Amino acid sequence: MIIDVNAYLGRWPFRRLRYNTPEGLVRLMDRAGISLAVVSSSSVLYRNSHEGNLELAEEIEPYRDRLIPFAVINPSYAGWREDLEECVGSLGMKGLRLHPNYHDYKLTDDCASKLIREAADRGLPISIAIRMEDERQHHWLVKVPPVSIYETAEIINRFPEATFILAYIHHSEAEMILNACPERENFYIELTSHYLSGAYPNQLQSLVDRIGVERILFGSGIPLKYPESALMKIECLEVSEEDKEKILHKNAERILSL
Amino acid sequence: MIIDAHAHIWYPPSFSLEEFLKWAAKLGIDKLCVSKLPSLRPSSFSSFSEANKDVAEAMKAHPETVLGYCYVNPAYEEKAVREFRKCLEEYGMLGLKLYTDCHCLDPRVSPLIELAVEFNAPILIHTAHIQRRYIKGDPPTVSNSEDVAELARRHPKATIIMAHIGGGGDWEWALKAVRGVSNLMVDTSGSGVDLGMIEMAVREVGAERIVFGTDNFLSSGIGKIRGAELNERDRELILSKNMLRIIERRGLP
Repeated sequence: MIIDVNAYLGRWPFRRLRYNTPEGLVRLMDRAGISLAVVSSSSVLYRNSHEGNLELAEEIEPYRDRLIPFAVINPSYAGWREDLEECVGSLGMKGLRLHPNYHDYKLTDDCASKLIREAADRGLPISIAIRMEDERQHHWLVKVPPVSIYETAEIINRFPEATFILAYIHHSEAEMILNACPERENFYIELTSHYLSGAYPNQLQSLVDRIGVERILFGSGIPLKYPESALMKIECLEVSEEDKEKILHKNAERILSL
Repeated sequence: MIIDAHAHIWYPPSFSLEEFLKWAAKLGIDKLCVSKLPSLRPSSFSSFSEANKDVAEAMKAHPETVLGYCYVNPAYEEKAVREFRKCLEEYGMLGLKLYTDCHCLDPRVSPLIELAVEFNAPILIHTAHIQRRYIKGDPPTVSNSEDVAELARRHPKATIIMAHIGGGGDWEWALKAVRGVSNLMVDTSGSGVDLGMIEMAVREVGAERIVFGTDNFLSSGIGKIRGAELNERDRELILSKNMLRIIERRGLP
């Protein structure tokens, strides 16, 4: 059993994607042995990001047994409370996906605090996409810096009651977070990053040695990335099979209340 | 069989050759073609000749597994050429690795390419996959995909390997820039694992011109080949056969 907590569906303006339909994504998951995927809209350049949520909910309807939708909420945009209510109340979304960098707000802004508090009250996990792709390949007109690690650490410290998934976070950034929030257990490291290697050096192993397997979640960035690359990191990990199961699905099951 | 056409030995204590080779073996990599980059670049003569000695030692310690690339700074002209010759003749190295000490179209690079041709030795060139007008932070001596393609056109008898299509940047542009240059190979290495990268490389440049590499990103390097939708023939060409052909042409076992 494998749960991928970092998948996307929707528009991606910068290159042609394969497997970026619900049928395609499920086919890709089957190929890689992934049973379930947490999926959010990749249409992050929509000014009104809620349209991406509506699109996603509609498209994945026949695949609800495989795809778990997260709502992309932009707390600096009008109407986000109603959007959140609709996503969770009517569309059955199980968590939030934040893109502060693409939506041009800071995690430490008041509007973000309100959203985080609301999510924590509702028991919704908050996935922060530190980035969506390698900055070195950004489009010449659309260069989006990664989400500030300092601000990410700040909200982890400020909201111990919230649950954060740090998606596509590099190894060095994860280490910074661990140093900034050594006593916090309200965040999880996800494995898409091209700078979080399995071997060699085994950066994932060093993270596991430091915070334990309970705080690591499998994710691969499909369909933007080859899922096999993230899976190889688990293969290279020197832990028990039971511990691998935690990373591959058990931790995610707990967070998602599956 | 799997041959990593683009790997490095590095500096202890953060790097252990034995540990690195152990992981490579675990991942099914049988041979690695390695260079050692001097830590300061542009590099001095003493730093690259020392680095080459270390590569020669690694080759000696692991003759079945490690093949070596010589590293030079072409600005040393005659001295760099002599160092390369020494690496080929005395150390039995496979080829030459060039980084950003000099731009690849700098005239001082030509004598090195000519020597490589004489020995049927491949030249692996660090390449930025970004249009010239967008190269900002990098030194002006960085070569991009178009530059490397031009170098290969100017030296049709040379076997040149454009480094790491997964090394960051616009790999689609890079692949289009090197279409149709038959003596230019591309390696699959680098941290990037964008889905579709390997399939597009096969479509644009052909499997005959692609060699597997990791640039030391061992697990993701293997992962992207595992994930790529390739037929068996193309997979074998990429993982070993193309590089084996290059090694054989050089006259190495």
